[in-house]
Amino acid sequence: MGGQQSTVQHEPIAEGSVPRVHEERLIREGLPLLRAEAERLWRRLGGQVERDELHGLGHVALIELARAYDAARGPFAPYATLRLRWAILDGVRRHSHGRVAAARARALGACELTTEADAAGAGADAAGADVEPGEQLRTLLGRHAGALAVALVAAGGDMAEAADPQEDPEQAAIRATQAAALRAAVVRLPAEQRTLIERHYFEDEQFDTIAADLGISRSWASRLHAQAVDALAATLGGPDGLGAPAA
Amino acid sequence: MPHPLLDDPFVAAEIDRALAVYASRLPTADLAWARDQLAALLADNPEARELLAAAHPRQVDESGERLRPGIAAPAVVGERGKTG
Repeated sequence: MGGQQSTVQHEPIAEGSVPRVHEERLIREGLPLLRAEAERLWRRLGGQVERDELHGLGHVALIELARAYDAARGPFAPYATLRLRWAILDGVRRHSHGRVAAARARALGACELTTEADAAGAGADAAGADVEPGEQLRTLLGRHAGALAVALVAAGGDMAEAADPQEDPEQAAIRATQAAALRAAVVRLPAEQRTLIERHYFEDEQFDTIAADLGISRSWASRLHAQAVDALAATLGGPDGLGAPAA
Repeated sequence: MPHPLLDDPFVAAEIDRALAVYASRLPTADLAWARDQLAALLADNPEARELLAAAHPRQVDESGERLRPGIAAPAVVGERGKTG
């Protein structure tokens, strides 16, 4: 809830870096956004991570956002909301909140990237103005279902490092088989798509960092990500799947 | 608890259709969670919500009030939603 205190330990503010007045104003403006985003992600992660923990992850990011914000980028609220969302999802993936929570955070991130790619025009061909709404809806759901499935399967490769003792062995076997086969399918992607998928999903690197290393914009990277996920999802959901079909 | 939008049979059918190809390739818990996420997408994303409204079959109940998708358990549009 909004009035709860975060349980996350924050780094002390270093001497000489005390927030300036406009930063404090931005932090105050951002706190309701942070509460809303933490609540939203708490629900979407299925309660796998405590609300306060999510709030704490976002709070650290909010301070950095307020420091780095440049008004030329546009209004603070939309700028901050998107970055808070990513900061919380990245935090869940990186800070040992359990395999299920990490997998779900990755999958929600994949959906966000699909939405970004659609906004950048990647979905324009499939969802043109002359396509009837029912077909557009099916395309939209199909793309997001594929993104969720690919990200969840990719996370299955973490089983060896963070096995969930409560998971049914049969379900764990599905997860492990599909994850191994997905890695093999990723190798067949074009070079930039392969780099994006491998580094983001298997090496747990932040998407913006990979895009910067590749020398491409985040917008273009999100489109490449969407193309890669579409290809992997088509293989995953195809008649033969990625590997041996589950019994 | 499943997302309330899944109470709408049209929404549930479209989402199940999107996920059907992954049925034997994802653990059941992941599939159930993904189902909820697609419902949340249709409820929270403005473009998706608009698309759902356009694609949803129009229904008229006995009172003559039009049913509107996008709200939990088929909600009835108020006075302005009356047909005729």
